[in-house]
Amino acid sequence: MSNAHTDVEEKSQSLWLLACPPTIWAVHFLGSYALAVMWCRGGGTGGYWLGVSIAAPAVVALALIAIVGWNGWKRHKIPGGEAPHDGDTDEDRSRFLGLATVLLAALSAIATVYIGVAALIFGGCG
Amino acid sequence: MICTVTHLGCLKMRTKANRKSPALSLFLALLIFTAIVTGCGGIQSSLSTAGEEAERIAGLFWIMTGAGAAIWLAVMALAIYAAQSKGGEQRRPFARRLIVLGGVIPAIVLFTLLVFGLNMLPSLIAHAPATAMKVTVFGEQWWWRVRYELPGVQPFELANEIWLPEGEPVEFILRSNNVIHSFWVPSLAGKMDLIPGRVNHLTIHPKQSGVYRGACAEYCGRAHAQMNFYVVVKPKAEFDSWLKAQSGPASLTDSVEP
Amino acid sequence: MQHQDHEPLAESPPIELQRQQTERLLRAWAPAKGWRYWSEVNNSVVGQWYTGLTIFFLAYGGVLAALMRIQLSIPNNKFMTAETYNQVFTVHGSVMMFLFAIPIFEAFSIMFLPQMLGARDLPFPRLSAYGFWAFLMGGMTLCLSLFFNAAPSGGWFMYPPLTSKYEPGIGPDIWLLGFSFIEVAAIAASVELIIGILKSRPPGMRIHLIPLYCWYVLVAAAMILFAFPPLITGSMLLELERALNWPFFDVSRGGDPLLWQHLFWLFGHPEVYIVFLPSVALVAMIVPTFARTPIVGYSWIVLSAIGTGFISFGLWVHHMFTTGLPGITLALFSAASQAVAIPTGVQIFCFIATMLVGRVVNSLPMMFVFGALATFVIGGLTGVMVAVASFDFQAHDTYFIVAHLHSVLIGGSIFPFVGATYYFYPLVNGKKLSERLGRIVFWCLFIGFNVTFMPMHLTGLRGMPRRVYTYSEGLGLETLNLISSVGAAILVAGFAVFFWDLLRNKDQEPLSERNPWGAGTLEWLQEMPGKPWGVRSIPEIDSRYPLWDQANIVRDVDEGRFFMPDAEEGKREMLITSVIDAKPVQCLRIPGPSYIAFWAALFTGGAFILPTFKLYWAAAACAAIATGVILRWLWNGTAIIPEKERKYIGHGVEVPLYASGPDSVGWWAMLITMLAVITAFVSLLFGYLFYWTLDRDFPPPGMPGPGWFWPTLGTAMLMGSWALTNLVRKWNRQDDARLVYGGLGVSCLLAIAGGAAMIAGPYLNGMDPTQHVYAATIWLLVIWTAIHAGLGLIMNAYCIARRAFGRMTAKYDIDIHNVGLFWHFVAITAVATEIVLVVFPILK
Repeated sequence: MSNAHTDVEEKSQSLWLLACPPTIWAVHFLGSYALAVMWCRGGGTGGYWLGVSIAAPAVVALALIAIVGWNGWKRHKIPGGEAPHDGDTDEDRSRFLGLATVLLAALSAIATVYIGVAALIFGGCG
Repeated sequence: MICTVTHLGCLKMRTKANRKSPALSLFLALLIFTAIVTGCGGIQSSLSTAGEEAERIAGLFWIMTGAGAAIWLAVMALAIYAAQSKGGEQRRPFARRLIVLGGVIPAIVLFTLLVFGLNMLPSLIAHAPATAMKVTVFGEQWWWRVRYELPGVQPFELANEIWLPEGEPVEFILRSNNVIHSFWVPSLAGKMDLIPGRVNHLTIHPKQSGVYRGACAEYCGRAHAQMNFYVVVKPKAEFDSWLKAQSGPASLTDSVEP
Repeated sequence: MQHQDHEPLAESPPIELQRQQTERLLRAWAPAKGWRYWSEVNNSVVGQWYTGLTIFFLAYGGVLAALMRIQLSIPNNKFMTAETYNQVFTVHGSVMMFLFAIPIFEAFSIMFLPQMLGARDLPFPRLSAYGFWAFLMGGMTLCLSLFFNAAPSGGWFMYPPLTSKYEPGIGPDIWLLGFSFIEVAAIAASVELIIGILKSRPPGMRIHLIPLYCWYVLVAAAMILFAFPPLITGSMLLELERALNWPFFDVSRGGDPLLWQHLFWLFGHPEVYIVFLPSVALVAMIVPTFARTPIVGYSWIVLSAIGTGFISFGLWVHHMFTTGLPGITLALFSAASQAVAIPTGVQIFCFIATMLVGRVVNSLPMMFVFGALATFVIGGLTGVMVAVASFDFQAHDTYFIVAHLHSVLIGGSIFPFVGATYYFYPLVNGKKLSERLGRIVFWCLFIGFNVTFMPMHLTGLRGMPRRVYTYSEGLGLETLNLISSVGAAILVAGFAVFFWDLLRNKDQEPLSERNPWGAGTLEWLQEMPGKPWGVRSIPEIDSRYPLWDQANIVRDVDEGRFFMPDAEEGKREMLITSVIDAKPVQCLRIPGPSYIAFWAALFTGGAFILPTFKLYWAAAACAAIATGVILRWLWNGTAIIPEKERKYIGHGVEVPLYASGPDSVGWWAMLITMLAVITAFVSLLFGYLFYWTLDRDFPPPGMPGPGWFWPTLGTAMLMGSWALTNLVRKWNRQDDARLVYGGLGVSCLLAIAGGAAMIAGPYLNGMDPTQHVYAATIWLLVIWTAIHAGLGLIMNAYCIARRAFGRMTAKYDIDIHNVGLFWHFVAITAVATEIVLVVFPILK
């Protein structure tokens, strides 16, 4: 019996959701790099504001990652299953995809924090 | 060294005879042997430092090596312990916790290292103060053209030879109009590339008088291996008199071979 | 509706029926004999060739390394001149990275992946064969060049301006063109593996039950799609500079050598994870077997694989820490480089956890696993050290890095590979390798590795840079180098014993018992020796370790109690299933032996490699012939209209024999290939933007541009062609022949005109690509777009012919679907080119 919010039908599940958290990290990372390049172009000095311009979107990225992670958590916490989720059922499959999403979200969050903190510590172009 | 031996002892106590601990002992013995026999010194060694930057980096290196060795030993001990365990369902909760910790602990340790390492970075890549001496180095194939253009002194050039005053920051301006080279004096500082079309800089604070050897650290063609140079660090007074002598008419200078 | 599980037949089919089924399967799948053997495309056969060739290249690269260590054993050695050494180290690195480390995972996967998935083959057998022949040609070209003193000598990373202006021989061209050819083959392999893993699983093998090897290979194959194209683009730029003097890396005309470094390392860093992930995947298959328990932390390992795959694309600048980049850039890439250690470490703890819960059996493959662990963890730790930019300033380009890279590659790739060879060998010909020799191999490799590479950490910190053919006395490097060279001799001994074990005659050896290690995954269903059809019948899966959990599965598979136990029409067939839950969706007929893949590879190879020798007309002829061969391949061998609509595969299930659009594997092949192609295009755009970010005016004032008229006209025409082609797909469904022919005809005209209009822009405005990098970049962008238009033209003409000859109908319309998909990418390319050529200069 599945929660009305978490559909375990095959057609509602997707591998693309798994890829969302690291993609969000990647977009934030590449955006930060591009921003740094443009800011430092032509002898800019970067500094505090460059760091903030990277750290602030990091917070947005973290929020988005959290949303996807939350979605994964709901799929994971379908009642009735104990780890490991290796039963041949729709629920266990859903629990696995949910857990993998949550784990990837956690990793992507940590990696995003690393980027944000790095930029805050050293935002200079020099 | 003492830590290593102690760890090894703990290891031997914890595990019964098994196929891996002879390998581990052999491996550690080799490491220790190599280090003892060869030491760390030399005029081209980043572990025998004579400059501010090299010193800071060497300090960082020793900390990371110590931590790394401890981590490696811990992981190997865990692996050997796991391979020897009788197993069973009762071990599963501990096994799961191990995986979680295997993610969480590295995340924390790496974060700490990141903060620590980044804090060191600005000082390593900063320009020297505006009043510091500037020396321009051109990478040629396959030698170093060193140009001194200082106020009050006639500009002059040296080949494969750099003289610096002890205790004062120097800014190297690094250029190339042929291929990419890399300027590296390990005893004094990290390296910086010489890239056609770019002007790079490297700040060095020599702290101790002596003669140090540098190398080209970016493959630049046939004689890349021969592209070495010497850095002579002298106390300020001696350096000043050398400088005055240099800016006179060209003459044979003293050899700097150690 | 809940997933419908199919139980095996309750009773064994009659013996006579089983015999007939086996006979029919054999007729369909038996390998060709005599000379025709070399036209085989069955994965088991191609996999063996591929693995054998890769191991040859391993030996070749290893011999080169041994020569290098002889030269470096004493200071100022005269064993090799600088010129020879520089070629040798370049070829060593290039061979190991391009001809061993990547192909070995492709080879292994081609050989074993279908068996892990209970499949009879991969979905595109001729593509695998094509990849093999391409690999053979490209690889031998590079290796033979050394004997003609014509090998590249710019390092495996080939930095300009050294390689653009200071290496006049053909060596760099062989590297650039030969490897681009091989990279194309690698992308072909990716397509196969991704589609094989996602869509050709046994029924019931849901996404959370697939073997971990498949997760890792899925990630690595996807990474190839995005990592190889930047190198292909970069190689194209460098070759154009060398051959036609287009100044991409020439500072005096607006170029910049750093662009190469970005493009190369955008490839180079993910590359090492593409090498590592499939190798650690082997460990993930071996550990549960010898721990006698299912893997602990399956989801965490999936996290590891996917997380590492993504984050590894954000590290590339850490190879450029000493090039004078802004501090913030160093900080960002340092942070990401450290972050990647987290997922890398997690999987190791999963393996340890599995051993903890299980009860490990002493065995040779597990010794290699431990060797891999010990070595790789060292490499991972030194990797974290050099990720700290501050430390990298000293370590970069020294023997410390040589020590690091070999630790991770030998620990992360060689040890698992050799261990996996001992583990999987019975699946190759039904015999086992020698346990005794294997132990000798292990100890020689383990001791040899440590003696060779551990001292190098110190050697590098004591001042020895990389890529030096000799070093001076008095620096304290003599003893360290001598020790390393002695270690290399031990490594050579270990590999020699390994190769001997592989090559020696095993005719007198007994056959191995079935499933000799007592493993739980499907590849061990194989009989000893294996039958050419792979699985006797395709099982329904209920668990991650079916051989442990599903009672009687071996008997049921052998007696044909599952799906597709027969080859009624005498054709090679495999089952295509849905991505998430592996429900049967199609019975795919795949080809038998065919020489076409060989000819296609030969002429494609000619097109790539002949320009090395400046034989441009011959190369163009080869390209034309290759196009013809490929068209014939497609015409005769793909989208074949079946004699009936559906086929009964057993257990009350009937599936279609033909699928088009997103249901067809061919459509996904087109999509995946185009993702790689568009990545190469994006790399070109990256180059354009890169030039703009340099502190110079770009586009430079006073220089003629392409204007706005011609690019806009060209783009409009190509968009028209795109729209029309996709409308034709709809019209074809409606079976309106006039609209189909008319639409395709007009779209062909628009494609020609659109491509010509694109070229007209720079041409009529007198842009000279040798004058400035801006002109060269614009020319390259329009040529790229025009080539796409040209390919679209060929494809649309092909569709006209298919329809005319009745090979494409309103119902059987794979061709127009795939072509329509291709045109989406042409549209994207055209719009992007328009934005860069016209919109961007205005905005600037």
